[in-house]
Amino acid sequence: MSDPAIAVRHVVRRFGDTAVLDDVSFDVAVGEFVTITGPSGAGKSTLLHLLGALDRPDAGTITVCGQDVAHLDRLTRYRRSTVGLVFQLHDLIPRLTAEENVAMALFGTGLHRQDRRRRVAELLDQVGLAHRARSRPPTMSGGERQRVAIARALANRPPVLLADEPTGSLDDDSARSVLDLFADLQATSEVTVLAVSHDPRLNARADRSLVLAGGHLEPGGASS
Amino acid sequence: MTFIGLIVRNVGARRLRATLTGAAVAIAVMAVVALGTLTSSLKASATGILTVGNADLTVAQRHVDNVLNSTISTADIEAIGKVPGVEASIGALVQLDRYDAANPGVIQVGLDPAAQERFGVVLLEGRSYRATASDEVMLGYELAQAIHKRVGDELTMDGHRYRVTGLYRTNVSFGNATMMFPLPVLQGRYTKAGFVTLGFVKVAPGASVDVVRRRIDQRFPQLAGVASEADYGLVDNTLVLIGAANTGGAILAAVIAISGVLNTSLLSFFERIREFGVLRSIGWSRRRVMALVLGEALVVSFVGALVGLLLGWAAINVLQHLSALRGVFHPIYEASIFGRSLVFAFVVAFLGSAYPALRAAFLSPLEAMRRE
Ligand SMILES: Nc1ncnc2c1ncn2[C@@H]1O[C@H](COP(=O)(O)OP(=O)(O)OP(=O)(O)O)[C@@H](O)[C@H]1O
Ligand SMILES: [Mg+2]
Repeated sequence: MSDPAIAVRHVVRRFGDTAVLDDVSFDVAVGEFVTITGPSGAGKSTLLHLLGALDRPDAGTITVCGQDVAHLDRLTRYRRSTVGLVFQLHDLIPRLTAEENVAMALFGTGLHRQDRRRRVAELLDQVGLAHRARSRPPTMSGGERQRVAIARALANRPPVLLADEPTGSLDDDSARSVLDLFADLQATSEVTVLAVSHDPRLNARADRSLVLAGGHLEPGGASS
Repeated sequence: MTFIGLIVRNVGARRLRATLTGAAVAIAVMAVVALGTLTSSLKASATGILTVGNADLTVAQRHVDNVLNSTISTADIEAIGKVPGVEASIGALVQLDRYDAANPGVIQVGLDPAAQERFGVVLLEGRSYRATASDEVMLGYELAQAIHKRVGDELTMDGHRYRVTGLYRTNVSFGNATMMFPLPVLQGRYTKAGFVTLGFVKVAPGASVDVVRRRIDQRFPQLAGVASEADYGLVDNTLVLIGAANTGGAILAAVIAISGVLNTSLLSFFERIREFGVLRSIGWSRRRVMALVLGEALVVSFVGALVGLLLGWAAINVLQHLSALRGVFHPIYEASIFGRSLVFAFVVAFLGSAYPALRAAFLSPLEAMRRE
């Protein structure tokens, strides 16, 4: 069996006296689509932040694509190229157009301007927003914005996509377009997806759902 | 989009704010340009007097406020002529006085006719005045043009009537706007019999100007030899004060401009904390975030500096036509002022945005993104 894309081992993360994550371990295989559910405050976002190298565990190890996330010496490159992050609130820059927002992820990659432009067009096409390239976030629907954020997360072809409630703030129609995009990603690419989700429709499409509660993963995460 | 394009884009997104900040920088640069030009021009006018004599070394009384108040006895001038290494030493009385409303400050030189050639005076028209003629004057050709006088015309200076005997030019353009009288006549009019303002020393061939200067300084402790621009302060405290005022003004202008840039950069930093957090989380390096913030300030300062240069140039033109400064202030436009303004803008941008840039670069992305 090949190495997992994500390997979490005995991870602990404390805030003050409370261990929000208390000895959490799990694997995600390459190309797998896994969701994490659980009550509010269970530490789902915290876990995702650790995986995205935005935070460090107090104990345990996290390995993503063979890299020890707690001891990275090239944090910037890891965040840019190994993982793509999508948040519940899309977090686009409102004064920039959709294509410019996506292009933000390509600065400092050494790509030439022409190549950057081509890549941005490709990404917007992939998320079905080629026609909205020149629109600004405030004029776009929630689903469109979230898809732009996904395009930005995928810009540097990261092997792992981390999403925190990507449909959480969307109405049904918007959520559906994002769900379709995840399905499409699954079908057409090798990308490994770990998504925090309360959305049963998203969980239904996942290979597995993990349940985080009381700082622990509940045993026997259901396979779908 | 290029990185520079992004910077310009971000600046353009807050146009009013950028304009106001740019205006603060522009006003500061204007002050620096106008003050600087005014200062160097006033210095040049004042020190022109020292260079008018076509000499290797100009001697004046030490530590006077204004070189025109320097007083040297003619006996000392003669004694300087006997200092080893000195080929010749001549004394000239220099007095500033009003001619008319349009020429409030005309420089009058009292000089023996025999010393004119040595002094670098070249007769253009007419003849020289006689050594003791109390009603004769010569005009530098530029002054003659300015006051519309020719050889044979009469003019009144300080209540005395003189006939113009000749027109001259000198090696130093400054001298062309002066008028010249027989030495005893000018001494008499200003009750300075036996005294001159400046001594002009010609060093003998082969002798070192420096050595001669040191000898003169030693033998005549009340006098100072001036060989280069750096020595002017020795004989004119006002120049030192003007220079200090200029530096003070520039620092004040810089402080104002830096506060303007700092204010804007900080405001923009607080508004965009979340944005910086996102950029860091999608793989922007600290250095790139810093470059973004510094770059935005730099663009604003740079444009402000260009506008400030134009404003400064306009201000100089206005100053030049103020009657209070007419005739005294001949603006000298130095090419270096352009470079200095750009350096000024760069320093202002850097000092004004370094702190916000560092804060943006060292934000924790998580904390930044928790902000609403
Ligand atoms: N930086 C922090 N400092 C202190 N406490 C924190 C910090 N970050 C998170 N917490 C706490 O850790 C706990 C888990 O937070 P987290 O955001 O991971 O929950 P979650 O499972 O994502 O919840 P939700 O479903 O509401 O998003 C919460 O009680 C939260 O208050
Ligand atoms: Mg959460």
